[in-house]
Amino acid sequence: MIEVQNLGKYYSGFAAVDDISFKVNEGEILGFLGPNGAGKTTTMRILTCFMAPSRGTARINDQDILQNSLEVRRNIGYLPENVPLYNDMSVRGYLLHMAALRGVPRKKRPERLEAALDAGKLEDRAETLIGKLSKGYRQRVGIAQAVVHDPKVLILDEPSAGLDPRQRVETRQFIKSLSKNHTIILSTHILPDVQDICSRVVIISRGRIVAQDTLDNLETNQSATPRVQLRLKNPTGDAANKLKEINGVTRARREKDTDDESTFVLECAPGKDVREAAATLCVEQNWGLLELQRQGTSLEDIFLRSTTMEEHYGGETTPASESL
Amino acid sequence: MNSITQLFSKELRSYFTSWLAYVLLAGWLFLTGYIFVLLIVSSTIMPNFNLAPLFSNMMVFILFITPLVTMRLLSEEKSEGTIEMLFTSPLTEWQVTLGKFLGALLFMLVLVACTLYVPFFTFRYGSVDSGPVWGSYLSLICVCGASVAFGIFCSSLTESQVVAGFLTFGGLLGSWILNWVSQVAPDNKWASLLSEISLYSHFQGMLGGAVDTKDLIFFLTFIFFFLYATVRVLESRKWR
Repeated sequence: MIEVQNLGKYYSGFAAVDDISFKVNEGEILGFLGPNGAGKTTTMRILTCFMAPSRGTARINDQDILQNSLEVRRNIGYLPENVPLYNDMSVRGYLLHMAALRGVPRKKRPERLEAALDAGKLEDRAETLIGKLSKGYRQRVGIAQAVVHDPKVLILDEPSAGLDPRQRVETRQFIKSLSKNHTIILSTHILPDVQDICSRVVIISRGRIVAQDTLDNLETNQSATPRVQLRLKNPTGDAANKLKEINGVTRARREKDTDDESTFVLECAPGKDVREAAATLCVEQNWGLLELQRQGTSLEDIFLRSTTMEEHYGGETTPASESL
Repeated sequence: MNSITQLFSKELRSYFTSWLAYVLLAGWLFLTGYIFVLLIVSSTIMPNFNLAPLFSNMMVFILFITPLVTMRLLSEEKSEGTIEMLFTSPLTEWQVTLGKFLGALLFMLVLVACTLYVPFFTFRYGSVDSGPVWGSYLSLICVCGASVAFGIFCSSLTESQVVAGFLTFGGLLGSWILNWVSQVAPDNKWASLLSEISLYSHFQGMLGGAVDTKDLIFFLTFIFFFLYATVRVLESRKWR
């Protein structure tokens, strides 16, 4: 559905995006991650035909971004980073305007307007001037305009920035619901969201791809040992030793003691899930199991490791500018 | 074509949703009305009632109004970032430029049309030759088109509306001043070259009612040139 081939954007002196290639299959949500200034926005602007790449190309929906730019744009819904909107228009007026510009036939516009208002949960603000909306509502107008022409591909640059926790959950669920008949590239700094809704991630740093795989593969391939954390209310003195005897546990250590609870961390052999055995043991020994959690390698670890590794080998530091 | 109409009606609407349109309209109507009244009063003293001074003054007012009308067209899109929304929609640079040009031009033509009461009363109650009047209106339309095209071009160059406004004003003022040179030194060939590229010498030619294709082609070329330049500036975002 989206095929990026050797894309690069070079400015005099530095590469904003340097030879990146990846694919997104139909119906997939791709998490597009990277530190600020890594080249995410530049890549998205190239994919949405706002800028041209210095080298390479991309195909979206089997159309080339350079040769069939108009056709590509007809099928893309884009939410830019800072949600630029016309402040002197009402939400309804703005959405209708964008629908018309993106070629929605006049007859279908009322129906698409309703769908977009619903997508952004904006029904009660339809007549409000955009300039009077709060940041969260502006973000929702941004989401609504991205889907107003019912595009097959959505490119969302930080859709949950500025939203309150509840709106964030709603937005996450909404994006998830879109994945049935849309292909989505999602850039965000909120890693739990990525873990929850993305099937694959691409991590870029300094314009280069440093990791790309499905989340599961990334988590298992990263060689760090999976960990299980236990919180017990009244463990006996030999609890650590007993825990170590569980099949699959390579190390067990008592990490922290407070007045009424102790924390244990079990390091496990790769691919082993020891949670059930640990729980049974705790119950048998009557240690008062308060909490049991698999730590694994979180996306955060992967993100930090791959982006700092790149920094380590990345040569001189050049600040990446994302301005026009 | 649909997209152009959509863009153009959005522009036109946004003039009338702000104060700008009403302030400009009020000022414009006051000034043109004031000059019209002066002309009527002076006609009791001087023979040969003539509307030409009114139209010359309207042209000068257009010089002041155009920057206010065109300065935000593209520079605001740039500074607010909304240009990203425009060009990630399926629109070509020509569609955007033409949409904005037509929106601003139509607004200027609304101003010009508001003075149509002047020929109405003069034809009805006076005896004025109609040729020069319609010639003047045609030349006002041409000057509006050319000024707006130049204004859009200036607006595409910068993110700052103030800079865009000053560039437009400076450019149009310069074009007016060029015209003076030929009046000071009518025989100098450099002076006549400079006055040939001035908008206002072509305007004055038509003011007398003599519509020359040479002047019309000058205006059309001028408009096309600056619209084309705007399109190229807009396209430059891709490779810069």
